[in-house]
Amino acid sequence: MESNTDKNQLHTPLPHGIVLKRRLKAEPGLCYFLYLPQRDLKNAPIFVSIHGISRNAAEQAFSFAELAERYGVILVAPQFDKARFQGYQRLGWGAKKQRADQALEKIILEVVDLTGASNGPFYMFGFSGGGQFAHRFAMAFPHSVARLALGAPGWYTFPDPTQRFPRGIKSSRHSRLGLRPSRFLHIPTCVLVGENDNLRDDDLNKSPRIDQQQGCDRIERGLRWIQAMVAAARAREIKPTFTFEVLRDSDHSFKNCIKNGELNNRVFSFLFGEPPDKPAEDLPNFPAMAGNQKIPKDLTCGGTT
Amino acid sequence: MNDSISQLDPNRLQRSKFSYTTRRIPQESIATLITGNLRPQSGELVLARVSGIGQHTRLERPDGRRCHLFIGDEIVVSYGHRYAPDQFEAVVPDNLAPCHLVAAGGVAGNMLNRHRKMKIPTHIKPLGLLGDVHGRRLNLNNFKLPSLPKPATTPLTLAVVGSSMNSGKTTTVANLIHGFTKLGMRVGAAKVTGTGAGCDYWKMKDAGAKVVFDFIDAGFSSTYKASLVELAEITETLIDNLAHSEVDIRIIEIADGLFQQETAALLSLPGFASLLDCILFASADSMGADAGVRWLQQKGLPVIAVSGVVTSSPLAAREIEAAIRLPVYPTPSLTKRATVETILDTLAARTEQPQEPLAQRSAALAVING
Repeated sequence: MESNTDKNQLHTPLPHGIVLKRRLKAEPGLCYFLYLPQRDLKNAPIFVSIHGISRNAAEQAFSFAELAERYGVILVAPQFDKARFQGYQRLGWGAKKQRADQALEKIILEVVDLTGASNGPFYMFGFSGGGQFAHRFAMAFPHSVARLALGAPGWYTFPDPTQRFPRGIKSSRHSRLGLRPSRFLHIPTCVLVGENDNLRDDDLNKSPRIDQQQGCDRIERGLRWIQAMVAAARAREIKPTFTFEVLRDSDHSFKNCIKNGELNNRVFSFLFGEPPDKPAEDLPNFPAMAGNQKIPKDLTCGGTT
Repeated sequence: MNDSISQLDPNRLQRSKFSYTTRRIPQESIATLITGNLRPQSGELVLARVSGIGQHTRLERPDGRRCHLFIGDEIVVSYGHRYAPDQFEAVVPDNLAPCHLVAAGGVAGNMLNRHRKMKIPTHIKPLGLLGDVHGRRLNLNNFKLPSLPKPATTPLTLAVVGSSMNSGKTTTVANLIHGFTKLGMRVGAAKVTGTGAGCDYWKMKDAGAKVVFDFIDAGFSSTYKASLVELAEITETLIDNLAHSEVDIRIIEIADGLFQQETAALLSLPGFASLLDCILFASADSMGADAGVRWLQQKGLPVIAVSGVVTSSPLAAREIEAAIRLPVYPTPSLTKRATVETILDTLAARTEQPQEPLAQRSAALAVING
């Protein structure tokens, strides 16, 4: 009886057309942002956006909401707080912190249950540290990810069996990973990096081993990773679907990548194809979103709305 | 001059130093010494006396031990051609005149060319061809493995080819054997072309192969100047015998570089690609890797990665990956579980692609042989 009550509560209609901040029902300490487009959501695709180490999940949600409306996709932006998900970029594997991959799975399950969205593979984007998480998640759970866009990850897991995870796919000393390139190489992937994102800033992992394996900046590392993924795919006769794009007049700022490099449009074009004919502003009942709706400074986690 | 056949004193034979190339010959099958105006054939056994020590100061025995040679020693070797850009080029002589020991494994031939770093070859004086009790000339071909029917299921088959001699092919093969063995797989290995010498054979054994063959097991002391049909027969004999040896994976090495005429011919055989699940290319340098992989790909051969000497250099490895867009596996990494698992993952992915039916695969060499 109790579970039925829970289910009924979960199915309370959620408002469409605005960015919601929610607490996960099963784990109230875990928050995520959710945007539901104003249309029938049955089997709608899910777009997951993963923040970087600045934890700007809200900024990402608001930056993609208009496109989510236009394309008719459900937007999910998890908030991995620093206290519990310190190593979320590496999925939380091998660390004593909480597993970020499992947290995302719980969020997706709840969203599917709440909205009737597609429970098939979802579409994922991650920026910077979020890009690290996103590609490692896709490597670990290839059946969960339909397409992948990575915004300037600082470093990568290469499909290299000679390097231990997270630099390569060799099992770490503590865990047996079982990463299967023949599965994750099928995921179409695009890496997008700002043309000025070639500085060795404080946030960049400057470990000699990473420099040696992957290069010295995010552009070089992205290109080398794409090259390695293409090589691994070709060895398996998998048609390589890995692309590298440079964002005009952009550095490592998410804001600049959106503003100057049109990161949001390019991510959606890659993940979902050409935009629908009608811009979101022309759609009925669409409240002005990215342009006019300000990101609240303090978005506290809501209950079930 | 007529041929002369004389009984061979068993004690004399016992004192003779037998070479690696004679490892399939039971000593009791040798009974006569045949002399006269004879034209030796490749693979025939010859009793010879060492008349001058040169490059090869030792002779490899059938058990792998390299015994020292002294002037006056009588040795049992086999005639053969030799192709070794880093050592000698030699051919089977037209008669039983003095010639050279052109491979430590026991190959007699007339040296044509030698690498500048090589000393003059060890000189030998043939005393006569060896024959059976009826005076018939003995050839390695008389003692080769049987031709076996195609097995119902074929094990995975991986080939290692290279850019040149000393490009790291055998080390690549040995490391792969070791890696797959560590995974618990039963590995069979074969060297299908080359010149008779045991170092590769023993290295494959030492790496953990359950069974190892080389072209000697198919009746050849050397494959230099072998015909296309002979090359196909050698390959077929060895890989079929491996398949019947209850192995999970077959690893075959094709000697020398792609410019070597028999290697090129074998790899160019129509249908050869269908015998293999994949190829690892061992290269001495990055340009060689680029050219070699393109050469193989143009022939439709399933090359999946590069390894070999060149992988000692991370910069060269990166150049190769960028140029040919295939993975590069440092040779030592091939002994590691994660690397061989990745190779198996690669094979699994490729077998999910549409392939020729098994019947066509196993019939490929039969078609080649007409």
